[in-house]
Amino acid sequence: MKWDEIRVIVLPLLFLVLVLTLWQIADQIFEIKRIILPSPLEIAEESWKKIGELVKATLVTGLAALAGFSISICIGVLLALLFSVSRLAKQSVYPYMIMLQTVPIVAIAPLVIIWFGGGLGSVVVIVTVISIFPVITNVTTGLTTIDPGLVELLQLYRANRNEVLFKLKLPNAVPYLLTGARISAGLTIVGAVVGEYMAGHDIDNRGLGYYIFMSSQNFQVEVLYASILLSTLLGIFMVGMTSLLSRTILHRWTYALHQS
Amino acid sequence: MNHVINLSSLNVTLGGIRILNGLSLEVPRGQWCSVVGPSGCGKSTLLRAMARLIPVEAESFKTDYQTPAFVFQDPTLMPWRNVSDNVGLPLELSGSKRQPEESIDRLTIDETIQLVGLDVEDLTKFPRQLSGGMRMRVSMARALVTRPDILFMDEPFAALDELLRQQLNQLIHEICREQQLTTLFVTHNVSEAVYLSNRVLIMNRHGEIVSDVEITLPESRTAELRVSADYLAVVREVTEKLQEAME
Repeated sequence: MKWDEIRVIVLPLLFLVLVLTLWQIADQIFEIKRIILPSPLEIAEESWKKIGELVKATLVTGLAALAGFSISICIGVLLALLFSVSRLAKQSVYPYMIMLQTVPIVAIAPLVIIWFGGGLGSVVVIVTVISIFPVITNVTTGLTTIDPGLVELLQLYRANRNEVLFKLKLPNAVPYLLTGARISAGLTIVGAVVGEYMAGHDIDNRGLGYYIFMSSQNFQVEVLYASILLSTLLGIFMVGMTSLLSRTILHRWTYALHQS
Repeated sequence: MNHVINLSSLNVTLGGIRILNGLSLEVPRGQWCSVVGPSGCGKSTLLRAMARLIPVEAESFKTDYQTPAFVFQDPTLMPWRNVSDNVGLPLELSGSKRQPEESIDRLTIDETIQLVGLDVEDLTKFPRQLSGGMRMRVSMARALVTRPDILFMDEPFAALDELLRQQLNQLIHEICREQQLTTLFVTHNVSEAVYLSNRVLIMNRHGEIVSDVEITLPESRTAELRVSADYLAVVREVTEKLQEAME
């Protein structure tokens, strides 16, 4: 590993250690009230006491995010396929899909809870709703933005519709799908936490959103900070895994991306 | 004479704009016919019309070919397929499979890749791992793998440097001559058109063929020909006619 590559990892870590140290020192010097800003050590101490619950909550949130993410990929790809083959469907429905992206998820969440009830089911639906649009828009673009030369090539060899779909359109859409998935992956944790914050109150499925809600109500500031940190780490994990998958698969697509 | 393409009063209108205007043309089997003309005159449209890739209106439009092949200006390779899979693509498509069994006397992918000057080791490489010239060779191999009876080429060497262009000119000319392949070739380069062809068509801005020049140079085209007086005289003649067409 070269020094430039090491710096990319080491420098942010050193910066984090510096901030935590300054935070701890400032807390002791200025005696900041624990309810306003607990010190890093206090957060660590309280989190450790609830480690079992927090780990379980992280898993619940992660699973809800993953389930919603998988559903949004499946439905998103199917809808994009429909839009790519039917101009009628695209022209009549696609503008609403774009418009729906702008509706805030916190406004939709109460409706989802009314329709699907409280609990994990609603959380998964909310994750699906928030993460499906990048998949639809990106895959639709990938299925319809194709090198005209390749289209003519398949036309010349009298390729049938299935061949055009499986040999050209779908492979062409893969980089677009992965780009959409990367964007969606980051949104899934937002959706899951918002969903749990509002609907995830059943006793078996208490996710990080529930802990954020409860700890803020009960002034358990240390747990609140720990929950925020864990949901951030979960988001980084989701985006990181999708990026890694993208990089592995897109390795052979580089030429196409450079061309465009 | 046995004509591969025979068309009269061909009109092509795309997006409400008339591109080709009352064009008539006969292309004998085995001929290398180049088309030159100013930018936007419809050279590429004529090629696509003859390959039946776009809708046309014509008094009569007869084609007598079974296995067409097309080389585009860009290599148009699929970046997710390696060289072998790109070259083999036409063999996978149902259009190719519908050919009568006896006509599937195709060169194998390995043979074709060697024919265009690449190594068998290159078969596993992806397009991003190839230079511009190598990508164009793969594109040529993909066109030749079905052993076509007509080859359409739309400025395939326009983006290449002069030396590589000359090398590929030589290569494709030899292949087409050996296989007696009817070739329709669009180019901006008059020297290239004269060097490769038996015939050069000159188009004007209105989508009409204004000159039809027969090239009577020796069948075998070698590097020495490029500096011969006869060749330079034909280049001058075609250039003058092209200039007239551009006025």
